[in-house]
Amino acid sequence: MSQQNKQLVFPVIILMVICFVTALALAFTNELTKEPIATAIAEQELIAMQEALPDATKFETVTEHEMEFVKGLDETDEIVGYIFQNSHAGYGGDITVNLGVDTDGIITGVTPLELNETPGIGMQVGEPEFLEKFVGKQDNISLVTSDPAENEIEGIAGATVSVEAFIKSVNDGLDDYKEIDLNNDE
Amino acid sequence: MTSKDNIKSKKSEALDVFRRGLIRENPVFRLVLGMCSSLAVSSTLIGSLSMGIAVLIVLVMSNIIISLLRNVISDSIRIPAYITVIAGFVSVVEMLLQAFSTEIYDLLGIYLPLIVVNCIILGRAEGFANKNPVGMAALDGLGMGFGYIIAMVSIAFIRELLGFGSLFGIPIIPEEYHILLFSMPAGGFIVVGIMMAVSNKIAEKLGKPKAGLKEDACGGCPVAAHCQALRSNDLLAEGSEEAN
Repeated sequence: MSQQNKQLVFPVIILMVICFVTALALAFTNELTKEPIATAIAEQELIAMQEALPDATKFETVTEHEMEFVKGLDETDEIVGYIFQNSHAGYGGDITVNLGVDTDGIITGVTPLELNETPGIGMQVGEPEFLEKFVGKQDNISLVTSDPAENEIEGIAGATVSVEAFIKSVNDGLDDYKEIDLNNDE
Repeated sequence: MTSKDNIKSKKSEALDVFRRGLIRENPVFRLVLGMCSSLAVSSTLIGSLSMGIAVLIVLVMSNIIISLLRNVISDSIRIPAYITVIAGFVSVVEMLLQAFSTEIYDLLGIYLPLIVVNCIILGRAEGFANKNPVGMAALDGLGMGFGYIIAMVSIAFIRELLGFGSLFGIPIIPEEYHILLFSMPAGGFIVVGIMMAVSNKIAEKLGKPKAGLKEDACGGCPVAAHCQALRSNDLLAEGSEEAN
């Protein structure tokens, strides 16, 4: 091999070796961490679903009536409620909400999944004080600035976009429930 | 020199390599490196500490590997080689965190993979690890890493206390007195700026140069040859072909 060729080939070989060894290390770590990662993700999803539907002990993701949603079951495998996931564009991106309703369509809990709003302002929609306002409500919810009635929610000062997106997602979930309910009665 | 003197001077040289990164050549306040993460994750103490430890680990390991390979990596492939090594380590740390500490993984979010382009790591690879033996490179990584942690934690101390009224999540100041600005990036800029002004003042009193981009620190950055900031600091050699 001429000197020139050597100067061209040698670095390429070294780079190849470095890439190969790096790939090996990554593959090894991947094998090592695959299961714990899957477990951690499943655990987080379970916690989120539990918050939305506290009475359920088991959750089943199903696709019925052209919708994907979660059925919540108790120990006797009776359906205690449903969880619907919907999103709307908020201020800092999409806001995704898990809505839990019982078999009568009454809200048992709401959990935000994706929330990238302004800290201290829009992010307040993820706080318990805001989330618990939804529990017990049934029909489509509207936003008011004060003195909320049965199916109204008081907004958060300066966070209208975030709150509106959140409420829209909740209402979408309630519409999903009505679909299920309708189809169940048929 | 007697061999005893030799060993002594080697030890003190090694110690100096380590101590440098802590305060005198602190990567954030003196070398002006790693600024993006120092603004992004420094709003909480736990965030800063976690990020700092991740950076420390990656920095030491990549310094070691690059120093070991310094004689085989030729100039033409040096940037892709360094980035591959650094990205490899960061990916490993990322996977381990996601598997065994989901809390910290969620906390660091997108800033964890961004460690790859954290200029501290590229900068030390280029400016030190590729010209020095393994032991020194490891010590440099340790010193710079701890210096980074010290800088991040001091910034976060101020930002979390003033912005969230807490320290490590423990509430201290009642909500009415929280200054929201400090929890946001703008506040981060202000805090870092003030701390840098203070450190410049102290440096001036000690007769040391002001904080600035150093040639060896920026050498690892792929666009160093075209950097306006380096030019204005007269750190680009006349007609330099360094980038090639």
